[in-house]
Amino acid sequence: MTGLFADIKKSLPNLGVGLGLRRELAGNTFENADQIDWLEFVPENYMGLGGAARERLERARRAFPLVSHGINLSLGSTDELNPEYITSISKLLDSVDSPWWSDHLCFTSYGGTYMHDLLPLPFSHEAVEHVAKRARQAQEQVGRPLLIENISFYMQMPGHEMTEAQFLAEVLEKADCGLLLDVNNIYVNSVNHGFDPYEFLNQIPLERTVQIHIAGHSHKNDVIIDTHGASVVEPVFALLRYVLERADVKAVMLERDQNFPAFKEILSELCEIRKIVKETRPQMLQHRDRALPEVAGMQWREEKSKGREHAAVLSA
Amino acid sequence: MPPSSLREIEKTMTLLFMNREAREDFLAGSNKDVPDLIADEIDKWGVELYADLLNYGHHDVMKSIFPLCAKLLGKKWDGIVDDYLHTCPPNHFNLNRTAKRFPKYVENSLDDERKRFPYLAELADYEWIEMELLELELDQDLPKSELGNLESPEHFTNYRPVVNPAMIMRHYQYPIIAIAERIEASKHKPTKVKPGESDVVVFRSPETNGCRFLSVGPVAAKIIETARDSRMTYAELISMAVSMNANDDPTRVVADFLELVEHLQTNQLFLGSTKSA
Repeated sequence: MTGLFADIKKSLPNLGVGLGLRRELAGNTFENADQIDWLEFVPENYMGLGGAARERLERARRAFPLVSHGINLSLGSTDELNPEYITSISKLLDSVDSPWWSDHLCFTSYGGTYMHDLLPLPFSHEAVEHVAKRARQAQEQVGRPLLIENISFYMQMPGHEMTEAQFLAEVLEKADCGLLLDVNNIYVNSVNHGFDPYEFLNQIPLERTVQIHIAGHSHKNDVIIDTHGASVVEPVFALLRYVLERADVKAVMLERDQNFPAFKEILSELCEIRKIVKETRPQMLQHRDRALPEVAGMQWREEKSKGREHAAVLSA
Repeated sequence: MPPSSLREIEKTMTLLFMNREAREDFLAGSNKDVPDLIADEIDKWGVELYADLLNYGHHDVMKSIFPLCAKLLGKKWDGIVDDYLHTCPPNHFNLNRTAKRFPKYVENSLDDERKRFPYLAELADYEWIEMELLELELDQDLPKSELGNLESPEHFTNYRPVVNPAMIMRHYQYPIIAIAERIEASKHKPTKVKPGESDVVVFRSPETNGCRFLSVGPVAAKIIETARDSRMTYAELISMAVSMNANDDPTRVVADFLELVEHLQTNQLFLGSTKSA
């Protein structure tokens, strides 16, 4: 790893094992704050918004370290960076003091149209240069370390000139950014596109990994779709262990965005993740003396579910 | 031949993902919207998959925001949403704002549907403003009340109501709240609805963050509007109410006013009282 990011990473906190802040899970999440180290939130669900969303985020801020994981920065878009987005997310990140922020290696908008899903980029040299430049710009404008996440993709875009691993590695090096490594996405892609996930991991700069996502997926005909709507499967846990044995990761987060099970199942998955972290990277859990003022057992009323929340996943 | 530019690829793929006609043409073998160099490399199965997934997400958010319009329009709903999204593609990073222009679209474009359901545009607006209020960010914390009950004459002459800032008022040509209740409760679509002006106040409860809907008469609407837009004291608002009801017994008007204020305080449209500067 070259560049400034190596120094920046040293200053980032160990957060431990976290969960996504979701409207449907908020009550259970707050009630079980003693079993969850930190929360990740999708900024588009809070940027410039008041009401229940703002109140939920404020409650979460008082109880947990928070980290932002966006959908619509649209890093790969050839549109200009959206100044309204940058201003709004900067304000939000300041308000919750997110130690880093992340978004996806994809495009979600073109010509001012937002598609609200993660669309793959061509793995081309032009796209590497373009994304790296925008990532540097975005990071500079927001003033906090940006992590880029590998996505699940279901079609190769026209114009590809390299493998996904080469593309990801080049973007990270040229942007000098951190990596949010989604081990489920690697698994999903490895099955759908027929490659060895461990070979993939050996080809990317794992030392840039700051955070890991782990999730479940679903089957649709002959493909696996990254739905975040099922339990994590064993091969994905194995990938998590493999990465943790090799990289100084600061945080692991379980993604669950739909088909919500009983919360005890989510807690049980968090336990499984924590066990792996404890065995491989115990220093990540050193923060666990966090005080839990007013949150353990805190009641949270159910929210009206009009409208939809963003989730970093394709609907399926 | 030089490789296609990233911009050209994004433009083409966006078109194929978002535009049904262009996609169907392409999948049927026509390349009129797709540069040849790109067309040869496009995975048609992938185009269909992504288009389906995007379409599902956009329809899902529309139905969640306009459940009554969807129920009313029945089988036509999906086609109408497709046409709307084609005319007004999502243009904001907030997913829910995909729906923002739908009421205007209904008003300007759905002539046939509005002939059958002449209140349709107002119903769409009514459903949208709930979403808008649920998400509304207030510039500042809710104002605090400086007074308990209105008990003395000084309270009436020196204080004014604190109006909930998360509030939208509408004057509709149809009794929208009643229509909405009928659609929600019944399997039958209200077609023969007579016009009837109605004033509707929608506001967000500071306690629950849910929206409340009030149907109010024209005098009450004027009182609420004036209280929101001016610094009139309770006494001045009472005078206004009395002058608006010149043919009624003033004592009765004052009693009605007090009952209205109590009702609005209970429902948290009025959040107490503050000294009028």
